Amino acid sequence: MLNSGLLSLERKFLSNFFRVYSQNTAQRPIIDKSELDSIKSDDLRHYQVVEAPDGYESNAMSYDPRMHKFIKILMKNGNSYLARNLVDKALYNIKLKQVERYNKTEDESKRKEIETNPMRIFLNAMDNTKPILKVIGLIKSGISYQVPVPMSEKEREFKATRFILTSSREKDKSVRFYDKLADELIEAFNNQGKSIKKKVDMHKLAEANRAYAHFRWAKK
Amino acid sequence: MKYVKSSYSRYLKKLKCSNPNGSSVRAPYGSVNELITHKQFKLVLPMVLKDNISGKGSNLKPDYPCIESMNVMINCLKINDYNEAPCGTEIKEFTECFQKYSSDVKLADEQAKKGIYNINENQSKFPIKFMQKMLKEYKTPRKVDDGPDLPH
Repeated sequence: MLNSGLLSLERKFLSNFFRVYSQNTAQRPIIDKSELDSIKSDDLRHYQVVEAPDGYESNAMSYDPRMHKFIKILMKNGNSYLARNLVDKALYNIKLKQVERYNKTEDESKRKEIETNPMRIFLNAMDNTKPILKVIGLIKSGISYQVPVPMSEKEREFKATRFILTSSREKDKSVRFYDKLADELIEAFNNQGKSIKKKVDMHKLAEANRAYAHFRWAKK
Repeated sequence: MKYVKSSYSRYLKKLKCSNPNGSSVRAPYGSVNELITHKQFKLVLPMVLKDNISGKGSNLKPDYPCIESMNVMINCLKINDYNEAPCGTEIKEFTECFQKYSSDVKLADEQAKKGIYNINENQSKFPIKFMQKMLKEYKTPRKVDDGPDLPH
């Protein structure tokens, strides 16, 4: 009797710490504003349980889902405040560097080509570093082959973040991380730098092994 | 109703082990006619096909989705020194092809769980789960020589 009482007490205690949603009823909150406006009054979602937004998710204009994912991958030990700060500082650095370059150039035709929006630089850099193909190991009749395979959009995005983060961490240790990240993003925006080279290496490997491309779909 | 092994089958087993005439079954000599009369066909089980198939050796040919567009894209990349700007259309074609394929597979899997299969009229080979379903639905009639109905 005593045991059972303790157990129920414990359960009550724990329920205050962890939010638990039942899997069938709870829904993800709608973050895209255009989707919010399109919902009609007789939609069922008005009367259903909705989960709390995750971290810094919001409807604000400065929020971007790709950026949010980037911060989550950068984070270590659950310290999302630091990760967010680092990215913000990197964006601030990019802005300073690009504006400085803009003011130094005297030709007006060349001035117009310089991009000064840090958010646009970040998104374009991510687009440039997205690999298209990857290589997986596959054993067939005792011989291991490296087979080129296409990737899903989610995986491509993840690989791009990995390339940018690892190549900026590899650099000189005396320099701050947000400075290195800013440099790396600007380089990737111009199709240069380490992260772009990593992507090209991946493509070259896939090109070398493209004769085995049909192994992926064959019967084992 | 159970099918018990007939005395005839038991006798055949005995024949394989030891021949009453003293000669081997495979190459009989002497009284051949005697042996042949023993080996006359006798029905033990009803001669009907089963209502299910084993899914082991499916001969369905694998299709290679998006391999042509992938080769075109890789050629374009190789010619342009892995610069993606000139071959934007090829890359777009390939990625869209793969997205369409993966979404189709997902949809087909979801519908297969509900019991819906999208199959063409001219198709010659079918997926195994579909075959199992159809065989269960339309069972083979179990009747032998205008006799009584046999259980499944």
